[in-house]
This record gives sequence, structure tokens and C-alpha cells, in this order.
Amino acid sequence: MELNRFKKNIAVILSVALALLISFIIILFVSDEPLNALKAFILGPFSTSRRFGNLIEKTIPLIFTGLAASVMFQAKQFSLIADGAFVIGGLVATILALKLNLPPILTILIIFIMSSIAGGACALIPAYLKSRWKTNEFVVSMMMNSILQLFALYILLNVIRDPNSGFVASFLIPEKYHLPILIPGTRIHFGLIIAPIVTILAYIMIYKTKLGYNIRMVGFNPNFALYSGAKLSFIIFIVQIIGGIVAGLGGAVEILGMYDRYQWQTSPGLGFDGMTVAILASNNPLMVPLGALFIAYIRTGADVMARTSEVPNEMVYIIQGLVMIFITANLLVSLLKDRKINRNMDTQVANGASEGGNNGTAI
Amino acid sequence: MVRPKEVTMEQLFDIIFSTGFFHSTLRVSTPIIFAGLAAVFAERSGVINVSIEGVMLTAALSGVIISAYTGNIWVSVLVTILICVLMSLTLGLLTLNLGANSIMSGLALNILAQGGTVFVLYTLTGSKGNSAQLNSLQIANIELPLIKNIPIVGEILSGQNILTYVAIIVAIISHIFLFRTTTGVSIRTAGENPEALTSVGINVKKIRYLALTISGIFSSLAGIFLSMGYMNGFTANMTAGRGFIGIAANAMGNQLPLGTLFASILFGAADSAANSLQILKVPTQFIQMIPYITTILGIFIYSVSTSKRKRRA
Repeated sequence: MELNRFKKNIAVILSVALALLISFIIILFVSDEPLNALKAFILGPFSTSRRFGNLIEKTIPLIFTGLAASVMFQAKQFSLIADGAFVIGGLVATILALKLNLPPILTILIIFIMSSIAGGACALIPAYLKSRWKTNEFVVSMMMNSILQLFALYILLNVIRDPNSGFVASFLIPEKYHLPILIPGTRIHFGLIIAPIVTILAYIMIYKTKLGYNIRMVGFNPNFALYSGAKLSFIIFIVQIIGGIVAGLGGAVEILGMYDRYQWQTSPGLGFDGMTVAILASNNPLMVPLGALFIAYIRTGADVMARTSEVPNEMVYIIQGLVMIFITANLLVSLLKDRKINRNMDTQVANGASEGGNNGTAI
Repeated sequence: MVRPKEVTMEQLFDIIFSTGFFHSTLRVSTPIIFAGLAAVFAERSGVINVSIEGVMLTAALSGVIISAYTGNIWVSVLVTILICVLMSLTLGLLTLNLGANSIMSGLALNILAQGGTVFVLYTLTGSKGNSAQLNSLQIANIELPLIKNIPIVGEILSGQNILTYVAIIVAIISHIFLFRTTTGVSIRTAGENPEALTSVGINVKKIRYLALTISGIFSSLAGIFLSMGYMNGFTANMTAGRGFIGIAANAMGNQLPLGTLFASILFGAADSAANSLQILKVPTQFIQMIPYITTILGIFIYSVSTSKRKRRA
């Protein structure tokens, strides 16, 4: 078990290294000054305190969406709802910050609670349909995301829009509700304290509680004989709701920490990035901050590179896609295994896939 | 913002039951039909193909670039199909040979396509938004002889893009292929009962690769239609979730090619209703939700009916 985990970590690191190597080769081809581009990419995030601030600021929301994805992946629920829940969490935070007039600390607490509830509510439909009717949570959550985004856009344009701001944005969120800045000279905010707390709570839930044990068992083998149908559907339901709650909280932290107006006309896409983070972390909550830091690092680096060279920052998606492929395909783990085990695995996987096709879900 | 005009029920009726509405429904449905058929073949063989969206996006860009550089529509279509089949087979390699989770690797391919297309577009044209600088070719619309003279039906059916007709014909052929040929039966068995297939000496993996090849061809046609028929050129992320709507159409259509065809047209109708109903007082965003709500309802109805059928069995 320990050895396996060690091997897995090595495989993740090698996968990241391989993806980076491929991206460097691409940069060599498309850039006229590849060395400068590479330097900007690798060292850019540390070149000024503002850029280093960007790196940490980008890490914080990714920790939340990464945790949301990890919890759902632990039970093998491939819901994308974190993306919609994140947007709605931010929207609810904005509305409450504009309407409530209570002492700041109390208000912020209420906002966090309500945004979490709203995020959880976003996950209700895909979670219920999956647990009760075995609909595919992937497709339903995808459709829900589009609906939630359109709803948020409607509220932004018709309810909270400030006609006097130069661009499409809500009224100003009162200064007193902004999360305090931790490091002067950057925008690194109090979210940097909240994120690790949620990380530890998620870790305790997954690895130290009965519920977490059940979640991991469902992920290990959904057809586990030990589990009655009712228990199985409860786990399937609850992990998706928890995912929505964590993502909703993340949206609220992001809005109160980073913005003075709500201005997401489309989703910032952090829910999807959370899935890459979860894969990097092997779904272990304690590793999520590291995964989030890596994604934030290549984001910040690519932004610096795009500004100083002609390499577009979409490079990041290529790296992210490659990392996901290398890790999920266990490309480097299978190289470490001997061939006989591999062949056995192949047949098992083929059988598993066909089972999925039969009594799996309705796509 | 312009205040929407007051619209009576009668006018609403006129909008929906006009030939223009049905004509645009077929047009809007075309990529969804192709994407839906791509999903049917993959899932019938036992592989969940989430990468349809990414393959479509790749096809949309590749068709535009190749046609702009070669000036030959056939070369661009064929090479694009080839590229997309390779991409689809990559999914096969990852899931069938390397044991990766099919949803995760499909999503990874989508992310790769999403970033890769903009990356390539930018390095070739210097624009991240669209391919306006490339002089790409279009696939023609055609008038159907005889049919175009029939009132109403002619107005709806004639003057569509070639690929729209191809989509409908392909759906019918796919139905016959899946249910009336040995290869079709093998594909279905690979999904339903792979052991049976192995016992008669047919390689399940090979059949699944074949299904993914077909899936790749259909996905690429969906993408080619978007950038060379529906619109004139490529814009970033132009698939806008149509690949996923195709997967939903396949679910709603009970994994039957003809069922998927009708489900796709239903989604297309919801989409074009969203366009033509924009003169109503209802806010645009709510009308734009219609296709997504229909999709969830469709999948829900399908799931309820399958689970009831299972219980009865």
C-alpha cells in the first residue's frame, strides 16, 4: 500500500515533467527567442512581488474547486457541477454583500454559509437524478452549468448591475466586507487561511470518518456487495452535494477576496481546472494545495510568457491536457510494472469497461 | 437595450409554425445529429466517448486551415477526417490499452483541443478569436430538384447544406448497419456482452477500435459543418457544448441511430426556438436555457423508462 502510494507520487511527478518537457519543445518550435520565452515561463512567477502575489491568489480558488472534485472523484462521481456552483457561490456572496447591513464579521460568516448552501443546491438536480434514476451525472451537471451560468448572467444584467460602472459589473461590494489582505503589496487575502482549513476538514472527512470510508469503498467498487442500494445512493448523492458546497464557498471567498464588483459574464472555468488539480493530487485532499499551486504556477508563468514573447498563454491547456492524459492513463506506472500483471490488468479493464456499458448509467 | 415588442399568442404561433423555423431547425440540428451518432457508435461498443466535443473543435479548425492552404475542399475534408480518427483512436489507446478512465481521458483530450486550436490559430494568423484572415472554403447548400417545387416541404427541405442531407442519410444507414449487418451486431455485442463476442473468436478491442473510428468520422463531420457550412470560418470554442448535447441526444434517443436523429432535431428545434423567440418579453437568458432544460428532461425521461423496463424484466 505504502509502496503503491510512493510509486503513484513518482508517476505524477514524472507525468508533470514529461508534459512540461513536451511544452518546452513546442515553445522551441513556435518562438523566435525560445530561451527568453522559457525563462519568462519558468522564472516569471517569481520575478516581481506582484507576480508572486498572482501565483498565490490564483492558487486559492483552485484549492476549493480541487477539493470539490477530489471528494466527488473519491466515490467515482464525475460531476462537473463545481464550475456552476463556484459561479453561483460568488453571485450569492455579491448579492448578500450588497443587501445585508450587519457587523462585517457576522455578514461575512453569513455570506460563507449561504454561498455554501447555494453551491450545494446547485448540485441537487444531478445528484438526485444520479442516485435515484442512474442518469449520467456528467451530462446533467454539464447542462446544469450552462443553465446556472445563464441564470447568473440574468441576475448580473437585470438585478445587481451598476449602470454607472464603465463595464458590465455589479454595484460596488462595500469595502468592509472585503477579506483582509495578508501580505501588503500583493492581493493575497484571508482565503489563504480558509483554504487550508477546508483542506484539513476534507482530509479528515475522507480518511478519518465512517462516511469517508464508505465514500472510498464506493469509489473502490460501486457494486460492493456489502452495500445496500439505499446506502449506495446516499453516498452517490452526498458526495456531489459536498462538492457543490465546497465549490460554492470557494466562489464566495474568491469574490470577497479578489473583486470589488461581481463581473463574471461567463464562468471563469475554475471548476474544470479543479478536476486537473484533483488528478494531480490523486484525489487526496492533503495534496490538493500542491496540485493547485502547480496549475497556478503554469498559469502565471504562461501569462508572463505571453506578455514578453509571442507564445500564447493557451500553452497552459496543452500542459494541463497532457498531464491529465499521462496520469489517468497510468502511462508511467505501467512502465514500472512487469508485463504479466499488465496483461491481467488489460482483461480486467476490458471487462470493467463492458460492465460500465451495461448497467452503468444512461449515456 | 431595446424593449421587446408586445407579441400576441397568434404571432408566437406564426413564428413557430413557419417554414423558416423548420428550415433553421434542420440546419441547427446537423452538428448535433453527427455528434449524437458518434456517441451511439462509441457507446454501443462499450466505450463512453466524451471527447466528441474536442474532436469536433479540432475538425472545425483543421478543415478551415487545410482548405485555406490547399484550396481543395476534398483534400481538406479527407485530411480532417483522418486527423480526427487518429484523435478518436487515441482515446481508444488510452482507455482500451492503458486502462485509463474514459471520461477523464475524454475530458483531457477536450482540454487539449480547446487550448491547442487557439494555440495553432494564433501561431498561424496572429488572432486568438477567429480565422477571418484565412481564405477558407465553404461546403455548398443545394436545391433539391422536384422536392423544391412541393409547397411547404420544399421550402423546409430544399436549400440545406450538403452535410445536412448527409447527416440524415447517415442516420438511416447507421440504423440498418447496426441492426442488419454482422459488423453492426458485433459492435452492439461488444457493449452488451463482450464475453459472448470473445467466445465466438472475435476480438472485442478490435471492434471497439472500429466503433471509435466511426465515432471519429462523425465527430469530424460535425466540426466541419460548423466552420465550413453553418459559419464561414473558425471561431474559438465554436462547438459551444454541441458535442455534449450530442451525447445527451444519444441518451434520449435510446442509443438508436434513428432515435438519436429525432432527439437531435428536437434539441435543434429548442435551439432555433430560442433564437426566434427572442422578440418575446421573456429575458434572453431564460430562452437560451431551453435546450439545456430539454436535455436534462430528455435524459431524465429516458432513465426512468429504462429503469422501469429493467424492473419489469
